[in-house]
Amino acid sequence: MISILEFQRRSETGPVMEVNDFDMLVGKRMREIVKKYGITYNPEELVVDDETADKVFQAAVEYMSTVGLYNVSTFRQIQFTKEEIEEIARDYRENHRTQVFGTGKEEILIKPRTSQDTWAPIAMVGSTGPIQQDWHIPFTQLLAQEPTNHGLGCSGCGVSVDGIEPKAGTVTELHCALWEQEALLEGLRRAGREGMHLGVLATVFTFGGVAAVMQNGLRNKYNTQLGIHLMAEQKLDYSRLLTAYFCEQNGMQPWTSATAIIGGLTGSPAGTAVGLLGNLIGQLAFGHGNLGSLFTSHLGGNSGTREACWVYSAAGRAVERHIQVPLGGTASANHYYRGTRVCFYQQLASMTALTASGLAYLWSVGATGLETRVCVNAMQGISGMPRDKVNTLLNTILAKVDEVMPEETRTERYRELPEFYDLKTLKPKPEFLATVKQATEDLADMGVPYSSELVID
Amino acid sequence: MNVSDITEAIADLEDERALSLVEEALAAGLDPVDILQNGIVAGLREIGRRFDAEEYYLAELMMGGKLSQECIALVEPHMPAGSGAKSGVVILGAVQGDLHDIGYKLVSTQLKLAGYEVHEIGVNVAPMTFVQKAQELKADIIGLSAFLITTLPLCGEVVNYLRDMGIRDNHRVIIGGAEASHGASESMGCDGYAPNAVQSVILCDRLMGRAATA
Repeated sequence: MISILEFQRRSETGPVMEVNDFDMLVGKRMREIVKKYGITYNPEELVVDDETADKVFQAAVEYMSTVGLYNVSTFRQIQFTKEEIEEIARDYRENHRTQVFGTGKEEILIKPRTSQDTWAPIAMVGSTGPIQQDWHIPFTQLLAQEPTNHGLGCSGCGVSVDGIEPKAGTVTELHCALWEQEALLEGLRRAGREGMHLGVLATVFTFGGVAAVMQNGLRNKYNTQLGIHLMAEQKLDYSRLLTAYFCEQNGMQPWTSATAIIGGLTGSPAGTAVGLLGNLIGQLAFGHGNLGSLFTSHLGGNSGTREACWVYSAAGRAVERHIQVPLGGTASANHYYRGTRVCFYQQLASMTALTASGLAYLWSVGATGLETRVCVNAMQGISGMPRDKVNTLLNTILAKVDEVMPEETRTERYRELPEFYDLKTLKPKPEFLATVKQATEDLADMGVPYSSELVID
Repeated sequence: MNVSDITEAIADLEDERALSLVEEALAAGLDPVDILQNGIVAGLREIGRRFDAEEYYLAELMMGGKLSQECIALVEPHMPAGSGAKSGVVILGAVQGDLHDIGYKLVSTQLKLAGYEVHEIGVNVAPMTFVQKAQELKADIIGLSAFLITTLPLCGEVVNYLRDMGIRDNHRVIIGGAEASHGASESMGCDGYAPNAVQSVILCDRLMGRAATA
């Protein structure tokens, strides 16, 4: 493995280039590599076969060994050899990583998982978009009180605290982050799940702010990951290296979250899958984490599409076959349709593709407690389902999305929790409850294998 | 030769062919305005069409933008005086604390296609740097990208500097990014919000008092 200090050395000695030139390099090389390896997006097979997964891995090794990373702090490319990339993959493959989060009765073990395993991924939950102060605690409570949810992947980011906005790199960022940690713990207490994993520390981004929150004791090693994630495409800065070094020295887990955007610099779904895997390898190279996770969307923020499912599967199955780090993924959707059947169907489709592609933990983002209950229940039945059956199911669900999308309303901003839940009783409002019931029945008719334990109330 | 060959070469991102065709056209005495409008700009429009049709992606947009700038640089010395009027000068960047650059690069490409002179000033840019660059480049419009809740308030800092330095009327300020919105724009005293790259051109055209080009 390459040391973090060595990353600094390469950040100070690699080829100097303008960021736009690096971006062009990413774009051009990716097109050449995708063509060379003959990787093509197939909407009929959203969970990919072994051959496609192998090609994606080989392409990612070549991509990383010819493009590498870029440090925006030094304007230099960070280069790797093919042998170094293969060694990182071999090390993870032959020395399986595991990770324990939570404490007491909330302790969870995250370990590598394959597409054939019949045990379901660990169920993480969390927010997408801003959280308002008045429903911050109820939101956490709603998620935590679902017994089948194991932890919070990302605890969300508050808009303001008593009118004070969190401003990056300033005292208000830390002020709001400290309030938020208290609020999260209160949400867990109200649900009776104090020891639950809280996921990545989201509101505070600066290294000083992270250190202050940790020092305060509001976050601990057992419930926190710190973001070291690369920006799309392949960029880091010294704050990421500092945080990775802090994690390594203090026995904390970095939040290794790979991102590539469909239609962005890596282009097509095929390029995005290769870019996503390359991004993950880059983070494992300097972060040395026990876990990895994947996120993709289209340029406009849309997720839960056929292309996104395919990208997740291609990168996920490549990890399953060649790296075997416990991998997380985002069961996401187009959240501008939040509260409608579109969002619900897409989230189930994402979850299905990720579960059937060997991911070890899934994060149902932007969902309410009720929605995560349904999603996690389905995840049990999908685990171990044969690939051809999964692909048939995915195509049925996504055809339904195409059918109903024109009938639903796309909002300019994400709809917020109080539109769906009564915050006093913490019960879903009748209209939302009816939508979830209907969508669940529709999905069951499409072949989603819910268990008889599922109660929607 | 025909200027449509230039259009085709630019649209197909054939760097060497496009540049040599422009040189040939100039050497053959073709009208430079015709080369610019019906050759180079038409090629850029075709790239935009292919992007909309998802035949091209962000990297192709950027490559097309770079290629067209190189072609324009060849034509510019031959242009008649007063014929090269640009739509306006825009500086773009991601505010302090924000490293997300895909969104503003899309905006940059679309604005260049619409005839704007665009200066990308990078990511994690301090509010005062936006102000200083705007003054230095005599920017008509300052475009601020904010992807995070914690970085959105930094957009307001730029407006505050412009106001407190007495130069608020010299520059329009627009915002975009995952956490930006019309409401945030209004509350921070910005001049507008664009939810995507195409809308950003319409917004800039409106602020510049021009009919929409997008």
